[in-house]
Amino acid sequence: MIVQSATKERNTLELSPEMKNRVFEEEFYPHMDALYNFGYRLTLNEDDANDLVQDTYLKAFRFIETYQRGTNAKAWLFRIMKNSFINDFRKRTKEPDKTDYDEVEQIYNSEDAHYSATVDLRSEVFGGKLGDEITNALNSLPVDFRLIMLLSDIEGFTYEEMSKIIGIPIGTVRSRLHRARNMIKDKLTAYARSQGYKVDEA
Amino acid sequence: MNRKDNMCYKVVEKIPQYLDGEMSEFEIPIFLEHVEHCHKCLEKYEIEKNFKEVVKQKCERKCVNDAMVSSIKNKIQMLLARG
Repeated sequence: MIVQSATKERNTLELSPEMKNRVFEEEFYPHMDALYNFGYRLTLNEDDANDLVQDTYLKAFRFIETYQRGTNAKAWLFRIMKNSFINDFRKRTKEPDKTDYDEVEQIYNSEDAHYSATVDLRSEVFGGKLGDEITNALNSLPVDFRLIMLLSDIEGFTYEEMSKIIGIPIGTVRSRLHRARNMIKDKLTAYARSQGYKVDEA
Repeated sequence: MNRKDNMCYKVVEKIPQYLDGEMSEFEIPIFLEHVEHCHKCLEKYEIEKNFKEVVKQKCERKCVNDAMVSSIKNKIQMLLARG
């Protein structure tokens, strides 16, 4: 019995090239555009985004034995890309590192945790420039906050999926997302004010 | 804070959870019942819903170019052939 189950286990771990090809075709390749977009929104650079996508697929090949077929391929691939971005890319850029990020999180923690910013995007102030202002606000967020906005509001991952992709508890997902949205809303409110509009605190 | 205000406070705080699809089935009817009948909460709900939709819409997906797609697929094919 022991020998049998050991053999069986090895068979499921060692995929044939045909099987690997099928996993790529059926489960991995369909997420290439989403991965590219994620990479682009993280790096704001097309070449870096391409590098990240390629790197993600090469790593997916290398670690394919740890992927359980039929599970959440998209979340698995996003986790790989997020790790590559954090580990490699951040070292090469002037992105705020962990200490800067802790500082930001502390500033926001020191505020009332129940503080909720509100901004009514239907207001005329945003008119035609709304697109630019939102992407500017998103791009100016510290990377951990930008990351969670992308995963949630652009890709539609659940709190649980984001928790696995980022490697933080679900409670932290919820609070970080809340803060990220507050930051964007505050920036948009500041923009509205700078245009001379009176924005009431809701 | 009276009972109605207290309920509004709780409902407003839960708007993101509802919009993110993270509210429990048990809470949804209570939440919706309140929002449908409370003008102030409905307004806040509409603002948040709009915010989430606009953010998604304005960050329209950028697609990877065809050359990159074939380059990646070729590399994977080579790795597969190597076994």
